[in-house]
Amino acid sequence: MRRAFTVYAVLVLALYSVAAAKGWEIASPRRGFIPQSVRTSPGGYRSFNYWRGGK
Amino acid sequence: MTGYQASCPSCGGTVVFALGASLLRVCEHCGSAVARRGAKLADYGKVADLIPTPSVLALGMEGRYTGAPAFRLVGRLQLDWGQGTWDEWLMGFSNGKWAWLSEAQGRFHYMGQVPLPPVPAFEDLSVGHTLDLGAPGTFVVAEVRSARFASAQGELPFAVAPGSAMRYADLSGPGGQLATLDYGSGSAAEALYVGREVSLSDLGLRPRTDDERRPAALGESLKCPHCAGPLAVRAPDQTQRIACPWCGSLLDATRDLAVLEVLGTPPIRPLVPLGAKGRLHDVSWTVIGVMERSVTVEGVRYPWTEYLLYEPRQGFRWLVEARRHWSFVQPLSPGDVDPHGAVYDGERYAHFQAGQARVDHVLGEFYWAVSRGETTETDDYVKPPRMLSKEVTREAGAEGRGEVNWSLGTYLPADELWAAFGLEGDPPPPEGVAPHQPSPWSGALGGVWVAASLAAAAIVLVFIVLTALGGKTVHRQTVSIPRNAVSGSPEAAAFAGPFFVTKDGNLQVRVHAPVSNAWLFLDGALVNEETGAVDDFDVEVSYYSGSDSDGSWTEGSTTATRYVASVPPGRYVLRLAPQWEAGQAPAEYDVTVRSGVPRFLYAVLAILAVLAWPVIMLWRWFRFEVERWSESDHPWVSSSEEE
Repeated sequence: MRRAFTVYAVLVLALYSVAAAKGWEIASPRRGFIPQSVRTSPGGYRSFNYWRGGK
Repeated sequence: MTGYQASCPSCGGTVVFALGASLLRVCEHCGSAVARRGAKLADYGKVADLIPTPSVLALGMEGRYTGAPAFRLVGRLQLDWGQGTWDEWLMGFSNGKWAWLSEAQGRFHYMGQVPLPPVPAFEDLSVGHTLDLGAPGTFVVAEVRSARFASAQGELPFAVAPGSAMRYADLSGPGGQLATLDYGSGSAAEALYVGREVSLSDLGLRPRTDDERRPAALGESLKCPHCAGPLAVRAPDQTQRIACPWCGSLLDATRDLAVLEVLGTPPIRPLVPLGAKGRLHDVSWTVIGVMERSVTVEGVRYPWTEYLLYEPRQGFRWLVEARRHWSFVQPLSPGDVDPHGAVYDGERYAHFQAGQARVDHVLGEFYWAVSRGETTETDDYVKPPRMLSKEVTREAGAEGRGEVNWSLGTYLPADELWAAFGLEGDPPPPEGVAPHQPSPWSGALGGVWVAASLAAAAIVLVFIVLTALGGKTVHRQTVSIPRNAVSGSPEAAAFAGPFFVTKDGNLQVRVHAPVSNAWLFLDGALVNEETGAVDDFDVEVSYYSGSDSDGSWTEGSTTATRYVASVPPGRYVLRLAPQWEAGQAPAEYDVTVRSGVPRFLYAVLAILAVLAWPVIMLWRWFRFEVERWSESDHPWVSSSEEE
C-alpha cells in the first residue's frame, strides 16, 4: 500500500512540477492560427474584418 | 536424611519418619495416618486409597534442583477440590529441609516455604485482586478454593486428619512466579509457599513409564457406556471429561467413564473435526475437544466455538472460531498481566466487552471437569491482532472464591488454518469484523501519511521555487477607450504590445479598470506575431457596492486575471475588444502581462490529490474500526447514528 502510494505521490509531484513549469492550464481553449494569407495581406490580423470573421 | 522410627498406634507395624520435619506418616501396613506429637504418636484414622491420577512420579524418586542438595520424594498428598484431584509431592532434601512439588495436568511447580507476611483472611480474598507478598513481589490472586485431603502416601509436614478441608489461595506473580497461601481449615493464613513452574528435567527426575499410572478407564479401546459408540482418547494422561461424539453423554474419565450426564447429540458440526492434526507455530497439534459457548446480550445470543488442541510436550492451546474468524489462543500466567488496564508484555490492551459466557455444547475430551451450563465472567481486551481474555469462575455462594484465567488470542487467517490442518475446500468467509482482526488500513496508514506530508511539502517547495524564478512582467500598458466608442465596436478594440516572452510558460493577463457599479468585459486574443498562433481569452472586471438594511456591501473587484497556457517564447501582441455596461464605459484600463506565473490553485489541487489517498484510507480505516467496535461495550458510533 505504501509503495503504491509513493509511486502515486511521485507521479502527482512530477505532473504538478512539469505543469507549473510549462504553464499548463486546465481546460485551456485550443490554440488557433492566423492564416498565412491574412498575415501577408495589408492590415493583416489587425483588421477588424479578420477578427469579426474569425470570432 | 535421618529417620525417626516408631510403631504404628493402629497396627503396631513399623513407621519411619525419614524427614525430621514430618508430622504425619501414612502407615504402609494399615493405611492409618500416624501423627507425631512430640515424642508421642496419634492415629488420625485411615487414609483412603490413592485416587488414580495420571501422575508420572512415585515415592522414592531422587533428584536434584538447581543449587539445592539432593532430594527424594518422601510424601504424596492428594487434594480434591470437587471437580478434580491433583498431587502434591513432598521433596525431602538431604539437609533436612523440604519443599512441595505440585503436579497437575502434566505441569509441575516447585514451591518452597518462605516467611509469611501479613495477608488478608481467607474470607477477604477475591480472585483477580493483587497481594503484596513483600520480598517475592506483588501477586495476583488466581484461585481461591477449599480442597479436601483425599488421600496420602508417605510423609507430610503437617498433622491433618484425612478428609479435612484445606483452604488455599494460588497466586501468580511476575516472571512466572507462583505462590500458595495455605489457610488450613481456618481464616488466617498458616504458610506461604513461593516457586515457579519446573520441568522434570530441571529436577533431575525421569517420569514413570509403567502403565499403572494411566487411569484404568483410558485403555486402548473404549466404548461409550451409554451408546456403545467407540471413543478415541487422544490425551489419556490429561483427560478428565469425555463428551461422547455419538450420543453426547458426558463421561468422567477419572472414574471408569461413569456417565455424568446424558446431554443428547450436540447440535454442533465442528469446522475442524475431532482428531484433526495441524501444524501451527511449528508444533503439531491435535484437536481433542470442541466446545460451543455463548454470551447473551439484550436477549441476543452470540455463540462461538472453541477447539481444544493438544500436544504432549506443549500441553493445551485453543482454536477459537467466532463468525468464521479464527484465533490461536494460549494460556497466560495471571501474574504476567497487569489487571489495572490490562497490560501484558508492556502493551496496553483496550477493553472490548464484558459478558457472562456459558458452555452450551461439548464434544470430545477436556482436561478439566467441564459441564454444560458452566458459566464464567469474561472480559476481552484487544490490541489487534491480539486479544487478551480474562475469565473468572466464581464458586456459587462464595463471591471471592473461584479462579481467574488469562489467555492471549492471536488472529489467525482462515486460509492459514485450512492449510495448516489440510482441510478440504475453502474456509467459509468471515462475517463482519472480529474484535482483534488486523485492520488492512492501519498498518500502512502512518507511513502513507508521512509520505503524503513529504509530497505536499515538495509541492509547496516547487511552487515557491517556480514563483521565485518566474513571474516576470513582460508588458504593462494603460489602454484608453475612445470617448464616443460604442461597446463592442471596432473603434473600441485595441492592440497592446508588442512584447517579448523569453521562456516557456503561461502568461498572466491582469486587467484593472476603475469601474464602480459597472462592468467591463474584454474579448482578448494573444497573438504570436512570428507564428501567427492565437490564444483567445476573455476577462471581465465588475465591481458593485451599496448599502441596505444589513449595512454596506461590495461585490466583485476592479481587477481580474486570466491565464494563457503554455506560451512559447516569441513576440506577442494582445488584442483587446472591450464591452461595457451602457453608459458606464471607463476612460481607460490597465493591462499587465506576466510570464511564468505558477498558479497557487494548482499547487493546492496537487496537494489535495496527494492527500486524497490517505484521507480515503483514513475514512476506510475509520469505517473498519466503527464496525469492529460496534459489537463492543464501547461502540464508536451509536446504533442510532449508524442508521
